[in-house]
Amino acid sequence: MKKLLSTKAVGILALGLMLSAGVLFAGAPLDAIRDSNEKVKEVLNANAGNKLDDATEKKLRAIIEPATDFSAMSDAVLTVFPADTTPAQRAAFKKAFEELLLLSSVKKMGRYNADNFEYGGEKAAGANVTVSTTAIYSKKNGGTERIALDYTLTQKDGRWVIINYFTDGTSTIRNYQGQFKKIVSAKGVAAAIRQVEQTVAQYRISD
Amino acid sequence: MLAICQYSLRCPYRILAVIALITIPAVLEVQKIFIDPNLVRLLPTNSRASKNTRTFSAITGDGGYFTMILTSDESNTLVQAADEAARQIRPLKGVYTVEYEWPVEFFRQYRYHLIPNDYLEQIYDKILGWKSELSPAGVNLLGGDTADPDDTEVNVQSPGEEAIEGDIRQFASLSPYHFSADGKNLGIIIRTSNGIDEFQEVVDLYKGLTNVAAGIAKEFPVEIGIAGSHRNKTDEFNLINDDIGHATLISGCLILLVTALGFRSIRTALVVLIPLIVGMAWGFAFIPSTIRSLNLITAFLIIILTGMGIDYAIHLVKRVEQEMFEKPFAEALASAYRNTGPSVLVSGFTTAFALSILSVSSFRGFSEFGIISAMVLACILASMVVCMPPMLVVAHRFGFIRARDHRSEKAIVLSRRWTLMALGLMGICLIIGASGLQFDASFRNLEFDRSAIAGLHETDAARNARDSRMAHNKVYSSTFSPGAIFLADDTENLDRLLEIFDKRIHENTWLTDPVTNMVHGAPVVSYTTNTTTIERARSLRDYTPDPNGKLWHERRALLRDVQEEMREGVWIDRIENPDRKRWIREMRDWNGELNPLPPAFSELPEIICTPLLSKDGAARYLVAVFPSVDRKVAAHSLRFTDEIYQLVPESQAERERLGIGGVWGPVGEVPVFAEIVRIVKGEIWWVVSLTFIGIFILVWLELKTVRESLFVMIPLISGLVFTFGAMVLLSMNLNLFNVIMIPALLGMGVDNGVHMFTRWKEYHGHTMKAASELFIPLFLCTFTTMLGYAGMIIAAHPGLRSIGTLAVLGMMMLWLTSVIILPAMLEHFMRRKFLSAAEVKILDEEEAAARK
Repeated sequence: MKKLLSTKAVGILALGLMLSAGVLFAGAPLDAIRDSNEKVKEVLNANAGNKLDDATEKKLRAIIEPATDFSAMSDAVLTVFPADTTPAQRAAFKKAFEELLLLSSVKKMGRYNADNFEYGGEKAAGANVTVSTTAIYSKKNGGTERIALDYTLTQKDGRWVIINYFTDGTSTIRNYQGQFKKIVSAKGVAAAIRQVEQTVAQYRISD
Repeated sequence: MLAICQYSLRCPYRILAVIALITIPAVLEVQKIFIDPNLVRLLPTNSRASKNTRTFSAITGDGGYFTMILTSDESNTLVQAADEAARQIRPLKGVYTVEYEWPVEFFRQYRYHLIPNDYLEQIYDKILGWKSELSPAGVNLLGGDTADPDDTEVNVQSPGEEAIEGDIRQFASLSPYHFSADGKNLGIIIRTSNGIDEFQEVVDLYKGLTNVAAGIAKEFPVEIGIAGSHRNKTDEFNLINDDIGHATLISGCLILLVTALGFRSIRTALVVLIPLIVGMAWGFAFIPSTIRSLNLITAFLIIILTGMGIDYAIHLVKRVEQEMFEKPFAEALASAYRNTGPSVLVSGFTTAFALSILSVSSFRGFSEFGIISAMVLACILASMVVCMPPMLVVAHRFGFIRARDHRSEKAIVLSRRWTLMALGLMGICLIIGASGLQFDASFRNLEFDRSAIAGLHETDAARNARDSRMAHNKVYSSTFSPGAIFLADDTENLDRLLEIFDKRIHENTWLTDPVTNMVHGAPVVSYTTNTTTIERARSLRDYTPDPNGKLWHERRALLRDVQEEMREGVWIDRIENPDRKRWIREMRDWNGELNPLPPAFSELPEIICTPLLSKDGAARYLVAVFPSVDRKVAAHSLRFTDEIYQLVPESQAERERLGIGGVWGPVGEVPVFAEIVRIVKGEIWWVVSLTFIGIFILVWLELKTVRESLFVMIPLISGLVFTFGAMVLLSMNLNLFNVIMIPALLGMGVDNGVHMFTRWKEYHGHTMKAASELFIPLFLCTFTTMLGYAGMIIAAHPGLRSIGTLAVLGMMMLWLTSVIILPAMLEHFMRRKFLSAAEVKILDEEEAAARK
């Protein structure tokens, strides 16, 4: 009997079905964004007017860390560091920088701290998907400010995770890369790590 | 002396007439004295800064400038007023260039290709920072202290941003005049032919500019202020001049008042003062023909020497009055000159000699202080010998002096226990002084406090200076006063020099203090690593980089990076500051490829070339080096100077080896300040030591025994120890101004010990008698000397204030130790050491009788 499908074709089909199932399991990228935004907002609202205490930070971490691949983001930033940066320095930088990314995202005008979000569409580009949103912030003068906030997501361990975000078309990773390139070339890796640690400390004080 | 006294008794008017004949031309000569504020003349002639400044400053200038800022709501009015002001300023003496227009066509042609690389780097940093601040997802890590985590508004200007935006604004707006961002201020830069080496010319030019400004303000409806780096120095100079005037007036009045009170007669005070004034006139008359002028440190000598010189007159007049109590006037005069005359001369010449030791210092601020002091004190002493006797005779005839018993005044002689406690206190002060007294060589702490002036007693001048500076900052955002200037003979030397500076700036490190160690038998050199003190080097190459060179390629790449960052996204729309938004868009949209080459030297407009070429017409190139550190901090100015001296060595052979054989300099205020600091810090302690040794030798020559001479030094040493302890407790430091007071205090303070000890011996160890007789005269002498400095305590200039404070404090301590500690020690511990057995026996019997 003539084979209807070759072994190779069966294999490809099986893989395709498995991947489709995986995607279905992971949910839509837009949902991932919406879900994390709403959960973070809920925690922040509950903590409104108070300092960011350990318990609240723990709750936020539990939401934000699975939604954002901080490790991938810091790895991307580390590409501008000199080749002779030691593993210990890389580890110290990643630890401090990931904390900075977390804290900066929940600050008063942080990406999670908008008063409202409007969700646009999804756009696939290779393995990544870009989700367009508009963050609406209340301004000090009583007006509102609308900022285009687009997320780049990729799949990791079966989930859609954020690996970069664009504000009004400006890439966050690229901006950090540019800043660290300058800092490292002017002051060195140790100073760059120190500066991130100081900024984290400043956030904690000012929060 | 006795012969003069005898002759004075016979023909006092004849002597006074001769003195008048000598004094009149002397007074005329004194009127020729002027204060030369040139700091370079304080340096030894063989110092590098001094040699360079003298040789090259006429060609390079020192980078100093004035700005005239015109303010009005009408830009047309501003332009008309600026045209007229520039026309009037150009012919003024000392003006090198007058700039208030931009070469618009040239800027339009080359635009952002004219921006120096370091500015482009700063713009790139700023753009990245602003982008991150405007982003809810970003953090500005390049923003320094201005970053506020809770604020995404980027419309508040930090000083650094103002400077960058101010510099770039011109390339974006292409305004033909030096306008501020709002168009309400128009600036004129006036570069001067000379700088700190001919500062009087700068001061005169400031007066000329003030007159022009007043005239323009009458003719046009504009407000005008004068600012710039020279304005700050001129203000300081004028302040010192004012302080000298006020201090002289105040101290003079106080000295007259206290002398009158001390003698309880204004007429006797005149008898004291006239010979002093005559002596000072004689002494200062030598200055125009010898040292030529006073400098910023010797300018105060008129007041100081009045306070010092009056002591001799007081001692003589007091003694004459004392002698008159028991003898007829003729005998009293002779007796006074026989007994007090020699000790006046010894103490006077000791002081003069002590101060003359300063003349060995290579810092001319010290050496001229020593020479002038010695010269004037010698003349005052001569006047005490020649002028005082006939003056006393005439005064006696007219009833200006009278017999008085000063011994009736009561002194304090401490008990043994109190003496020991005083010595213990001295020990504590010694520990405090030794551990806490610091030398603060910072110029920053010696700047007069403008804010304090503005806050406490704002004068029109202070308000005007502040308003002018604010207006200046609106038009000119960054400084164009370099720390040092080099001169390059040709483009090869220029490029090589720039390469050297560029390398250092990019490496950011400077290796010093090489130490050679042997490691495994091989020499290994290790260095101390420092951060460079050089921020940037400016030259014509900023406008005309070599099209095939690294500078130009880097500039193009930097410009591309900046534009790329500007083009990413629509972040610019969210900037609220319209001026910033406009220039960023202008720069973003500019197409550099339309004109991809830098301008050639020949294309540069004169307005750009003139400040960056030598003034001798030989078209040699200037390189202005700007420090990255606060130039007013002495340690920083020393490091900056050391670094540029290391990069451009003094040795011609070494410079040729580096490829900069045709580079000369540096010229500028920072190397001059740095060398002054280095010399003062290096010389002060051995100058003090030499002074002390010199004084000791003179006292020894007078007293003939080492033991007695050492004893006379006790009030001097203990007085200084108490002074240093008090300084620490009062949070005072030694600084570049008041450090001169240490040898001066040694010279002034030795008198008290000499007088007290010799009188004590004269009275065969009768301490109370000697102390009582000298208590008031020593107080008067000390107090009048203190008053000589007292005027400085209220000076607005902190350096002068510190001289006054230290002098008053020091003199007070020296007096206290002379009239309290010295007599107590003589009474309780030294009687058997310095008196004969017979004298001791008499004293013991007297005391026993007194006890009964």
